[in-house]
Amino acid sequence: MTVPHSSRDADKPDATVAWRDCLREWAAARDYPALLRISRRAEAIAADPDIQARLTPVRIALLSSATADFLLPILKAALYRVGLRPSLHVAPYGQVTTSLLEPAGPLVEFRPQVTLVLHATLHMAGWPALTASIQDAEARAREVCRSLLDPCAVFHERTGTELVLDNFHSLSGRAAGNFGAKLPGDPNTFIRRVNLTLGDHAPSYVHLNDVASLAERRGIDTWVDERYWHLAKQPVSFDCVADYCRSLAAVVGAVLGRTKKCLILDLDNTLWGGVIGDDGLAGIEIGEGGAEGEAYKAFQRYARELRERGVLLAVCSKNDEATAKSAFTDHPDMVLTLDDFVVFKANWQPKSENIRAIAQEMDLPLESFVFVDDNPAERHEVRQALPEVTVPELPEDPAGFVRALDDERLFEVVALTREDLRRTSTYHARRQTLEALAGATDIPAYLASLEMSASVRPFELVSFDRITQLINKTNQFNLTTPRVVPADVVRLAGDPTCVTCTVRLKDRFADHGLISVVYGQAREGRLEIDAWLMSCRVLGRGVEQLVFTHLVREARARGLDELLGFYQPTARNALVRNHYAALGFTRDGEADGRERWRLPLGHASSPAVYIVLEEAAPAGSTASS
Amino acid sequence: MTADQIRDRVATIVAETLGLDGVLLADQTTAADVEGWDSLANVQIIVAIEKMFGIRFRTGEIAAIKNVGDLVARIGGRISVRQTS
Repeated sequence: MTVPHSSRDADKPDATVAWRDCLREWAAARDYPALLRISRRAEAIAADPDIQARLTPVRIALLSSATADFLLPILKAALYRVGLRPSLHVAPYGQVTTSLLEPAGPLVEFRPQVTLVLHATLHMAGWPALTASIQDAEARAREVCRSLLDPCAVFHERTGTELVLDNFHSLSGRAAGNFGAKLPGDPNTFIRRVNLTLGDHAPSYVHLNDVASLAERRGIDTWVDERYWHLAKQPVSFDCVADYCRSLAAVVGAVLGRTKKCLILDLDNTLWGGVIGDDGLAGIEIGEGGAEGEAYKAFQRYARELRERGVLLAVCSKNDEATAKSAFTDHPDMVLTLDDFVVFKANWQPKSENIRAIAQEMDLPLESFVFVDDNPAERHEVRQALPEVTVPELPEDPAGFVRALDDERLFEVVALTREDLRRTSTYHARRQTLEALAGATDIPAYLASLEMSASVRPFELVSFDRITQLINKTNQFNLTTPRVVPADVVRLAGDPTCVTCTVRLKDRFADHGLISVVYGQAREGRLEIDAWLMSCRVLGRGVEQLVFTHLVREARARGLDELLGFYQPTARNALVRNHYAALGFTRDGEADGRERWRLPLGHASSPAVYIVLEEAAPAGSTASS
Repeated sequence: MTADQIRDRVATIVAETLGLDGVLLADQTTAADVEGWDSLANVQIIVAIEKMFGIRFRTGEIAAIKNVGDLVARIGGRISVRQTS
């Protein structure tokens, strides 16, 4: 692909601004020629070292049964938008299965972290006869799925890669007409069965790109342009390439833990129609009884579904706090309740200031926030002041809010853990403990009053998803900031020279779930602590001391005589600068941007710990998908 | 719109698609005469032309376009048909 002449080199200080503008333009563009132009511009700007430094490099292999060339530039830009800098390896046209099965060669040597497997529906083989019985169709669907998943399994085994697999859209030709809906052998009925079977049987390292839903959303007649399929084997119409690439990029982002954590909502004309301060409780539009009120209610319901799935909600509104809260406590048609929000900011400060305060209160980086506001001026203010925060465009009509936010695919996940499902209540409990702390004068007495108990366990199968998620999401209490894919976690768990450790913590307010991960390896008589990280929700509880005691015990049990820790400074982890010093380690030089800290076991102290160690529950009791 | 005007717009699209500052097109110019105008770029150029002029080529037509003059004539035919209908 030819890169256009770039005029940006002349005014390099503007790269950041140009980059931001370019990505925003990309998000607004729909037609292919414009996307292509903007995507190429993005690629040229991405060559700037300042921009490169902000993106996480990732090796992505792309295997497609149809033409991928038209997707590539657009897909790259979509990946930039989720903060990734892809190096791409594209397998030869049409060679999906053979490439996956090849025991050696350029694809295996490339060692992809993520592999995109794109099977065009129009290439699908293995159709049952139109008159097939349900049993025949089921057997055939299982066969099709096996033929898709088995090569993925082989390739995953060989390279440890995560895979993203397309499922299938319906076809516009319906030879059997409406009666086909009753025929197991009808192509569209069969495609539905294949999609369900694929969802049921895809292993954890295979992530589905739900083409069926994407195509349904746009309509099959729009999704497929038969002319370009016949002419160039282009599997998705040029009008829908953006939807397709956004979806793929969102899944890849989720695989690498780039998902947003918190949705901040405006109130007036965002969650209800009208201005509560002017129109009063009875004057706002929400709920049944008016078309607009129903539209706002649908948006609240969507926000609530996100909350139930683990996305945190917060409020940022220019309002009088008591008036704003009364809408939730006193209006019978409100879907969201005050309990759904972890932070509620209603005042007259600039929204960017409130959002910064919310981020501080929640101990989350600004990059984890999405801000939704109906008012373009407020959106602009936040974008200018806090470019790290994602601020999607909203249509004027509230009936389009759900679709506009959903289209951004900001909250994709590749697994749902128990921690996700109860995240909001965990944050509420954290607030209660902060308040308890404010009242306590004596730290040990306060810690004792929390009645904490913990279980310390090595990496276990049931926790792999959560371990991966915590490693990738934790920025502050993270000594070396490693980034992993699930296969890395599996490898660590299975390596007898590795010491792995997870901590689950409970107190009288909440079950915090799995909140700390540590792993290291025995090398030359020492335990080298390669990773030590913890959720900031449980900062100051003494979990570090508990883990330290555990590591000392583990090292002694293995006949080692020293602990070696590392601190690799980043923009976000200054919090743990003194972590090893506080535990009695001595600084022992620096290499590769990492400080080394050593502690001979003979000098290890036994710090006070206010957490009761639980006998580990059987592994099966911790649900995780 | 005159043939010259159409040709100018086509030239803009070709240049943009190929990442060139500009390109000179005559009626006799074929894809082979312009560096980078391969079958891949050709599809991108046709897609951009369809968008810009709001037209749709027939499947067989796209592969049959002989040179720039032929392309311009087909676009012109589409536009005038649309204007008279």
